Amino acid sequence: MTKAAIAALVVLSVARAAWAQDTTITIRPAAHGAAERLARRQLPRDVADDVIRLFNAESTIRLTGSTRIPAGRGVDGDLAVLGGPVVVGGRVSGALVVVNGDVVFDSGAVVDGPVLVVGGTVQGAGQASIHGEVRSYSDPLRYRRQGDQLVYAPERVFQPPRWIEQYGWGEDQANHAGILLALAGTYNRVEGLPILLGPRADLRVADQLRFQADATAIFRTSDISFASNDIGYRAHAEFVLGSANRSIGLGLRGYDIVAPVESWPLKEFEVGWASFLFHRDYRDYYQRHGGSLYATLQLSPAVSFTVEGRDERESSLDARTPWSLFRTDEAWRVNPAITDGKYRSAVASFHIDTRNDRGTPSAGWFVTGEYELGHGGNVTGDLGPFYCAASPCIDSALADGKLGYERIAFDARRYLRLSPTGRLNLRLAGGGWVGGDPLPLQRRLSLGYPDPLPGYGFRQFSCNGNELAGDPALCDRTVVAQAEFRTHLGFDFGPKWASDWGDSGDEHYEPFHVSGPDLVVFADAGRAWSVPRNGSAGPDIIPADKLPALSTFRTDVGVGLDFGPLGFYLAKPLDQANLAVTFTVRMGRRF
Amino acid sequence: MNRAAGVLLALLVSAGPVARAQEVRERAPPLPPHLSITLSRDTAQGLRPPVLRAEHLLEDGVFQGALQNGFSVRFHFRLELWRKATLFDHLERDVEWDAVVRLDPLTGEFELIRTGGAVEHYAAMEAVSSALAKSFTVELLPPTAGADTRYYYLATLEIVSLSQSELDEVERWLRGDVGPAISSHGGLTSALAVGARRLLIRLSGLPHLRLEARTATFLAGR
Repeated sequence: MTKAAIAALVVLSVARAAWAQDTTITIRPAAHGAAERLARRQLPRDVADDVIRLFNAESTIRLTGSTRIPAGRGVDGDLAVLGGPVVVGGRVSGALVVVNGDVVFDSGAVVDGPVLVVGGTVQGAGQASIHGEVRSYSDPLRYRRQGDQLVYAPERVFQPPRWIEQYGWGEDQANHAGILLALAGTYNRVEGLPILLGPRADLRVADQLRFQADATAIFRTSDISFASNDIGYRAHAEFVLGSANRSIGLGLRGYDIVAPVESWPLKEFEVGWASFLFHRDYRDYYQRHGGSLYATLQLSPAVSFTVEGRDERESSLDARTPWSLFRTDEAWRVNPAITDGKYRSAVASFHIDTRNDRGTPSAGWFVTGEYELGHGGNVTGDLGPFYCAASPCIDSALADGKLGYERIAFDARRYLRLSPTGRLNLRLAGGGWVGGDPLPLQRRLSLGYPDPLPGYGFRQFSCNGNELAGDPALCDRTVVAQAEFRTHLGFDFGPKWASDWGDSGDEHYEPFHVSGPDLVVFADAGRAWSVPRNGSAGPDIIPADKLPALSTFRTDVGVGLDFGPLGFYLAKPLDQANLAVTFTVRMGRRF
Repeated sequence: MNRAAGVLLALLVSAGPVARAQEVRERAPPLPPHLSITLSRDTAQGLRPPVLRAEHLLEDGVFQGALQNGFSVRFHFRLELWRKATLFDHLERDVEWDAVVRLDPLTGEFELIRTGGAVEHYAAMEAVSSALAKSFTVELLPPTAGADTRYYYLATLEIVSLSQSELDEVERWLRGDVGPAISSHGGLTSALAVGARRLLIRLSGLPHLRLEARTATFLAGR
């Protein structure tokens, strides 16, 4: 499926005159970006003055809203109507002014004065007898009311100084510049609520060439101490050559940010709400301070490739004491230490997204993949207790303070429709170590509650990480497969004859008004493991050139109701009868 | 309590709900928002373009409140044409379009902006509600080849209240600016931050509604 119809050209075609219910809007599918461009125009000042003068005149009869002058009836004097539509079948013995509404003249209508319509259209003027000038303007009159009178209130348009205009700055259809105030991530136990503040710009430098840049400070609000860690930053500058559909970008980034160790469990904003409401932060974090140079090739709106070179210092961070709504007397989970050091890495990634709807997809692919070739220097952290059972000790991989590793990550999702109501969603995700020294701790992985194996405990499969404070993820590799079947509840079916069209040729039907939540039945299977180092062995240690047997995968099944913004799910592991059924609340789709 | 007093008390107690029920009957409840697709064939049995119609979108007062409190409301329409298959149905093509309604605090007028840039002004809520109920004739027809193939249409309408920053993005997109509105590529703000903002808006009590309608399967050919 090619999503050739993202944009639509909208043409208002008046099927029959006048009333709203008799008109239809024709939607013609068009190629992406082919939508008609809008230039917000304003009514000429002299026309606006005419309208205001006529409307406010003492002798004018003023009406508001839908107005009809039937045939054989009349209005004596000037008539002004605010809104509309106005249908004239009879006689207006003066001027007719319609503000921000349409006017329709029936056959036999008579207007003895001029007709002035702003913000609307005139229809049927040819079949009416109009003795004055007919003027109509599609641009509306902007006004405010003062008692029963109108006052002209033009839209204020920011006019940048001429020297700024010369360089393409300011705010118009091509350029955008402004101050960004937004969340920098999500609520978490290390930063609290990170807030972004700073300027950003998206400028058209030349035809098919744009320059995008931002420079924002990040204010970490967990506990304001004015320490250096309370403020971070994020800045980027990028040249983009090409169109919205096909482009190549070259840019650089500088940052001092807090990043999550794993991209799961949960979506980022779900993690934030769990932290803010229930004092449960399901992710771990570390600091990234450095810069990168990158190039992005966008082949289509659905496909892009990126290569990036990074040079950054990665540091451990302690959990702080941000506020939460419940369980405020509990301590936050320890934020585990990472393998601190200075890292240089090359990262190549691709992104394919052919989903028909990003929020609630029912067709298409979503595939991402990433390969990282990393090299750490001045590494001062350790690689976890598995490699350093006795203290003090130095892992052999870190004897020279250097660490070279290769890592991949992938996430492939397929959205299928089985029937008009039934949908099947599939996902295969995972990644981990593929070469070199052991992965630094901030690249390790785990599986468990609440996502992507909600039937099990939190990080139940973390390669012994749950024996340490903070339950760090310590596995080298993971793979997880998820499947869910969805169907609507609460159908409002149409009549049976709806599908049975007769021969009369012009039969109509309007079947089905579907509402209600999705019933979701799902199953997940996953495995997390390590590769052998220093002769280590165990059930979760599998040779680097092998995959774990399918029989060793952990599996859970469950059922849920998805109301859109919120979904409620019950899950049960298949291989551990002693584990209770778990309950999970998700915001939006599981994947 | 004697029997007469008991009967009187029972009558008084039962009279309350009756009176309230009469009140409710007199004040008819507003109709819920409704989305429908209408299909028809011409006299030669050729399939006409489907007609999509959304009615009573502002009548239940939920989105009226959002508008009057300064929030804009976005109506995101999508019509999909699916081809029925043995195992997995196939999405042949889809069309999306938008409308945004906001209340101009200066003029007290409702401004309705549609994809393509059309801007309409209405003085009253009833008028903008009526404008939103205009039907859409969507020129999205199945290919004429393969007369035995069965298809169906699926339409969705998502109604959300927008914060100011999101409104800016949508307006730029409606004006024909490059890039999709409110998406992971919609700006420099990350998609997740946008998602969190939207969720905050939803949880703060501002309304969000998703309507879906679909047709039965039909043959494309005559």
